[in-house]
Amino acid sequence: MTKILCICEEVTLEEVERVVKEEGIKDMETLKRRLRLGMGPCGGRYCINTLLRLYPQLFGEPARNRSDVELKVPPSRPPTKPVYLYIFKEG
Amino acid sequence: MEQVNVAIVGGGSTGLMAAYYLAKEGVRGIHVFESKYLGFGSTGRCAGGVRSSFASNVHVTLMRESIRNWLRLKEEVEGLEFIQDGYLWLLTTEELVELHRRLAAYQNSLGVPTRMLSAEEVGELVPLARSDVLAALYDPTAGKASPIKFVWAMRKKLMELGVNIHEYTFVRGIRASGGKARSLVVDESNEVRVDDHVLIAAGVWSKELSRDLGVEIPIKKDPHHLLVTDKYSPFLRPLVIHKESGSYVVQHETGSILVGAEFPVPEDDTSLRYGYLRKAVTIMSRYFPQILSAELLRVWVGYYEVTPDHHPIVDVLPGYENVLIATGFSGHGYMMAPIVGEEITSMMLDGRPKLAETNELRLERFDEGKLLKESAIFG
Repeated sequence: MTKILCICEEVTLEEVERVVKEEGIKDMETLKRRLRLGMGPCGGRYCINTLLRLYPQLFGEPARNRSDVELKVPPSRPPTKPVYLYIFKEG
Repeated sequence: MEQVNVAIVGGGSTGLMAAYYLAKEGVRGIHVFESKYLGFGSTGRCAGGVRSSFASNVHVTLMRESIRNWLRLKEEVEGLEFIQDGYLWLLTTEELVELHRRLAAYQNSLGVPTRMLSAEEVGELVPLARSDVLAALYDPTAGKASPIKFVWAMRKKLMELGVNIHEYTFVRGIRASGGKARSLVVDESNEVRVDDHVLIAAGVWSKELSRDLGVEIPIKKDPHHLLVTDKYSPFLRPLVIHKESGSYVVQHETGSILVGAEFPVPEDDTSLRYGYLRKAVTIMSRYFPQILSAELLRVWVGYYEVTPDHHPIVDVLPGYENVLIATGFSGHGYMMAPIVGEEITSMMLDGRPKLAETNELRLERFDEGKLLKESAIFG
């Protein structure tokens, strides 16, 4: 059964496991950019949290009681939710 | 790791391209040091535009050669993208039209086939709403290349070529003696011996590294905003610039739309400004109202490393025969990286670059007052 981790960018769990194993990716920041996880319209609401839960099994290290900086959790860039560009139009 | 042959400081487009051309020449022991993830600096934050429609001999010539390299890289590196959809400069005043007529002739004389388009021809190329466009300069050799795809394609390729990439590894300083760099100080206090060359390609952060060696580099941080929307079906092939305001819009192959605008902020201020969003959206939506119903996903700020003449510094660091520096690209580092990487390789292996124009990018020009001019041809 295919497990989808990131709905917006259609990233499967298998793909995540493959790049971690084959390409020597060791952190969430790099993983995000490699597979575009969390870069779609959900802004990472779903996939980043799922990824955090999977952290120990993916990277072989515990995630509990460690800071976002230490875990290299990708920062959330504004806006939190998508907004239409027209709200910024003047005149 | 205790010893390297070539140390490249900076895992952005310049450093990665230098590593690539060096590796292709058979150089072993190449190590790239990146303090964060690859492309963290200006590379990963840029819009991905690539063009040779500039107004100085140095820029036009180097970019003409860089585009040749972009086309080759697309064949050589799996996953690297370069889409030659052109650049379109919208011109809204008679003065701008006249200026760009002369610019097109100048670019043509240097082998870049730009041409003027009438307002009607512009309408055939892009779905333009506004009627104040008098004409446009079209650069058919220009294009777009997703920086994120570039970084990951190059990461994979370099690893296959045996280049060592050290992510999250901070180069604290360079130790030198007798006019040569001898080692790097990495992270807390690890010392890495360097046997051949060091390349400083750390964007705005190059300034501190060279200052450490007693050399002042005249670059300033110039923060620029950018926004990206969700993905939509293609409506815009070329990158479009509204010349009068400096605003631009580009739709990438993924369908995402990026909109940039000139919005000057202080050197160290990377906070996000509403004013930028208002300006970018207000100006570009006059020409492309389609963007108004697009959804904004992210806004960010990235640095241009700007020199006094807006041309880069590609040189041997004065006083250090085995240290090279490539910085100060003033917003054009990503597009220039393929030619700069190749020139750095020639400078390291043959002692000089291949193109005479690269020699003009030496650091001493600032002290000698021989600044390059982006619009030198207009006297």
